[in-house]
Amino acid sequence: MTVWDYLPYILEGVWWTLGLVAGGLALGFIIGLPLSIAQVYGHRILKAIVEVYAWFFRSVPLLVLLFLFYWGVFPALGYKLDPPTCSILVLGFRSGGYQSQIFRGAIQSIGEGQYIAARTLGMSKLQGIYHIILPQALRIAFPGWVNEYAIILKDSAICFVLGVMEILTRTRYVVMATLEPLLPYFIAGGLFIVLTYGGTKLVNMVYEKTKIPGLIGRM
Amino acid sequence: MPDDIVLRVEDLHKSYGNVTVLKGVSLEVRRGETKIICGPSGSGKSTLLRCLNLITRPDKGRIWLEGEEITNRNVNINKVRQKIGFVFQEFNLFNHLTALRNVSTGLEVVKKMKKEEARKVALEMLRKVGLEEHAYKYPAELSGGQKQRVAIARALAMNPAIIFYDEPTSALDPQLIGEVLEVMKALAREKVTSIVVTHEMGFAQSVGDEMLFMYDGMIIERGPPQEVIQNPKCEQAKRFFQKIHELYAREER
Repeated sequence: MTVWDYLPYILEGVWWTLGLVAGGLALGFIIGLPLSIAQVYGHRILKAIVEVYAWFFRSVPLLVLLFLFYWGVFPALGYKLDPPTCSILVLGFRSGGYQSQIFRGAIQSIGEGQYIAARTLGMSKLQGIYHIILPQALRIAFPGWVNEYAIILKDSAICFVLGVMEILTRTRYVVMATLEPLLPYFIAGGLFIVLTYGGTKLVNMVYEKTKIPGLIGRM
Repeated sequence: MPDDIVLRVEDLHKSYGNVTVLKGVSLEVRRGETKIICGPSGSGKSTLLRCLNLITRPDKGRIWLEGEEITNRNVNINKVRQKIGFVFQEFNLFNHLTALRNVSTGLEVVKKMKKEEARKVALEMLRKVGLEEHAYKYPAELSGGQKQRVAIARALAMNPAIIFYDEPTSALDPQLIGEVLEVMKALAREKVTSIVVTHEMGFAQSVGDEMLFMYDGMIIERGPPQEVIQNPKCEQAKRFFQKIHELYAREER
């Protein structure tokens, strides 16, 4: 069998890669957004906790995090997670740290005035954040968030170390089977290029559609 | 307390660290009254307004709004603030919302008004400030004067007991000040109760009922605007109005 015969097998990895990315991004969003709010509006102690969280997950290499959680943390807590689940959790925890900083920057760039104006209308803290701050912060954060997609997409390849059946894992199997490294790795690289380009193009299209005059995210 | 007193303030104090900004301010605002506050920068005017709607907590002193003591820790601050309109120097419009939604959003979120009803009220308020045809523009598409008029409509829509204006024309180009003052004058003539921090002496004299001159965290002179401006008694007020006078004379030349 030639490399080309294995192409469908490699292409199947795209779904796994996209699954890792979607899961990681979504979990990162669920973690990162509340953290950013806590960091801007929260109590001093809460701010410190968020800072330590973001600092930890942004400082430790992804490879180390994967090993740490797969072999260390989860087993120690009594969980035996399968590789894809563990990978998504780790990608999400880590992205949460990065996304919290993306959203924090966006929230802070809005300035205090509008928040105070919301409060003077009689909105509660949460109402002000939800109705006034977040709709703007999310738009401002959009370019940074698209960038996060590209980063997490490329980082997801590292999950091959746990044997997740994503693009790189499958490519390595093909290399082993065909003893032909050049073409398979080229194909893998090409797939990542297409996914990076296509994905950012797609979200940027959504961004353009939802743009509001005078409210532009910083690229 | 006579019930035509909307706002009563007693002995308000506020300091930041070891800087004392308010050193015992007392005042009363009657229904329908337009109270002017002026004084040099740093005299505590903005801090006073911010203490009055509890954006900033005063250290000492008591405030009553329509007979209810709002400095009491048990009052619901968000309920109190609905009754106090606030117009900022920097407008502080919600940048992601159209002029109309800027006005209606408080009605929907805070007063739980139905969307359609809130829209009607908002349109009516925009008509009042002469901006009906700009209802669907975003803040970035409006001039400074238009933005400030939207801000006034936003405050007005909540049907507040009193409106605070914190130097509402200070961030505006000279040619845009007039349109904002016209709206404010019209409201004053309609007997909308207000406290206006401003250095617009023409405005103060034409619609102000009383003028308070603040200096160094205290109200050191008060009286009818005409009298305070043209014939101030204390030395600090004399110097202040002299400076303002010179400034205006220079502009006219």
